[in-house]
Amino acid sequence: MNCQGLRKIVSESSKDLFTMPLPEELTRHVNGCPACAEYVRSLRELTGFLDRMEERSAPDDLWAGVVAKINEMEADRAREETISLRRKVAKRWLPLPGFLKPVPAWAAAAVLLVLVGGGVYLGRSCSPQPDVEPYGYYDQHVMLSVQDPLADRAAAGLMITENQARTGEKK
Amino acid sequence: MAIETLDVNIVVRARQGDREAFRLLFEATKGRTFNYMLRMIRNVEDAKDLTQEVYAKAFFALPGLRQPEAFSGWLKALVVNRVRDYLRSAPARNREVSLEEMVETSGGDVSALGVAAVTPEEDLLARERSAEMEKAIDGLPDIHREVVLLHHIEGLPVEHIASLLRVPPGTVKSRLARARGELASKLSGYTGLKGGS
Amino acid sequence: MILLLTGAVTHIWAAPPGGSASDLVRAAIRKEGRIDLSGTSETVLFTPQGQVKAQTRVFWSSQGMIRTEYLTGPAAGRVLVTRPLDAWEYRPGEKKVYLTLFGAAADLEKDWEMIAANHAFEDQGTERIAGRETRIVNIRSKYPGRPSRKLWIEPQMGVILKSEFRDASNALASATAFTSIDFNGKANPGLFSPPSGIPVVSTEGGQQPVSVEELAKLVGFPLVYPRSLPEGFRFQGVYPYRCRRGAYSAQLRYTDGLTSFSVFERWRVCPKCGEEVESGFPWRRGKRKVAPESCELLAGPAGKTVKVDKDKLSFVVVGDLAREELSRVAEGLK
Repeated sequence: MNCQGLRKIVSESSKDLFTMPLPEELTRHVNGCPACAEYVRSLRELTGFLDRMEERSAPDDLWAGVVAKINEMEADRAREETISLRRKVAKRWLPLPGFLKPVPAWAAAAVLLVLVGGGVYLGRSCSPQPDVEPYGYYDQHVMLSVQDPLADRAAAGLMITENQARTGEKK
Repeated sequence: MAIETLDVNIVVRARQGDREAFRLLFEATKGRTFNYMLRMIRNVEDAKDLTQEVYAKAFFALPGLRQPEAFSGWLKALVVNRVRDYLRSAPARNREVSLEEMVETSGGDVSALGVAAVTPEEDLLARERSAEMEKAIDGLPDIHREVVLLHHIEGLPVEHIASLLRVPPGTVKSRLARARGELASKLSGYTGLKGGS
Repeated sequence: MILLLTGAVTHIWAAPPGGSASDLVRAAIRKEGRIDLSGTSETVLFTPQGQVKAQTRVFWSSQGMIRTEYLTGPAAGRVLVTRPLDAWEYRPGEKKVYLTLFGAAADLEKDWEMIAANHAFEDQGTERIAGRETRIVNIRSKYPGRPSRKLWIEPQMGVILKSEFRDASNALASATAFTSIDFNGKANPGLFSPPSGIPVVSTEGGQQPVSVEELAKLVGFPLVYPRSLPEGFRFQGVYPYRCRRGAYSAQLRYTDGLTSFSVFERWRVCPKCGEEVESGFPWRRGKRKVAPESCELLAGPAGKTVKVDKDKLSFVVVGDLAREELSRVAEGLK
């Protein structure tokens, strides 16, 4: 074991090396080499510094941001799914390339009717649907009320259900 | 609370979409995650954003985790990879954290920087030493700082770091050696280390 | 003679089980969701359209949690759980859980001070409910034209076995009664967590309890407080509310201890409903605005919701008070 060999082993080793007695081979060299002894001591001290470094505290509002991002990603995914579904539906209705067959007049009229009808249907299904909020102000008010003393929680659930049914009927 | 002491059932519940369970996992791991992010990225706001982003992604990716007991390592991999992506793209000038910011995120107490002071002189020396240590780590190249934090702060063994970074264990060892050498030469006034190997 | 006198004195001075009416109610409030029990109950909602009934299965956990499963009626399959810091509702039709955060846990002592200051308690006899003897207590607000409630409280366990709620015009609005109850055994803690594999939607956009300043930043305008409040009501807290499209409103909540009302505040021209969204034929993909009037945040029973606009803001007051009182609150926002 020479100085270069020792320094390579020690500098590349796991930090555990510095918390335990050195292996005998290294100890023998260190005992006879003040420079390497000093090198090992200093690395031990450096490792001690690093191990003692405290964790930085995470900001208090971190969770709020996490949940906001989750909701954002959820909304994005829902939007992407809707667009992808619409594209799939659209593909089925688009004429296939090269699909051109001579047809009798009545057959052509039937195809035209189907296309127009399909177009109207597609237009309706592609237009933005009325935004039915599944959880509106009243529902939110009722849900927060269940924390109140003596709240009738069973009735609260029925109130929310009834409100939803009423909203659905209006549509 | 360390993740290791958490009931694996909590991971199972979080995997099934239970936000309350996921919040418990978050609370158990946020300290280390943010700590690693901040020390690597060296910008408080970006570290905060990235931490939030990683956890949000983890929430959606969790159903894909087959072994709930592997949650800790799985999360660490997400964190390390995200940090690497960030460092590849973020300009270096944004990545500065002053000592004041470090103190602020440590709760305003310099002793939280790993220093136990006794007398005012020792306190001053300890503060200076810690500040130099922080500066020295921040000054390391990203690939060296990464292995120092993963090994010395996160406590990961060399083989684990190698698998996380997808490099051979020998590469991790040599990066660790170089990092120690650089730290040693920067801190020679405090450790007495002459630096270099 | 002496014996008669002693008997009379004993009869007069013997305290009923559970103490005075107000003591009994106070004990019942402390016990809500704080002992282990399970049972079945029936609930009736009295609406202008008629009665709506449901049978439910109920579990209480001494950790402060209550689970109500709707077995029959229009809410069949739904589950409502209240926990110390939040409540969630599972809707099987939508395969979703809606989660609402409360903010801080209840401060029972502070709540009681307000309840006692604003209400009067009256013993109204006894009755057997679910095979157990109960004392009937009527609770009325000290102020006229306010909701009231009648409780059937089992004095030994301190549990409310039946309750009736009357609205501000003294019409019966809802009633719930246990049909069977069991104080033995503990409910599985898993019952109080949302069902696995079901997405959870936070009605507050996942925002943790916010300060007034944080909420103002979130909604983009300084919050407006009603110029006057109905007597006995105090500000309880602020909550963010996030609609499905991602627009935030501020919710200000007021309570007199038992009855509450909310003031929702938002931009009159909703920032999200005014957005352009992709629509139209696939080969002519373009953008169209979503009509703001199609937004359904306002849906609520007639008489319980009042809306006013002022400048660029809209206010919606929701609660169980008389419509005149809700309107006065709304006018005080202009």
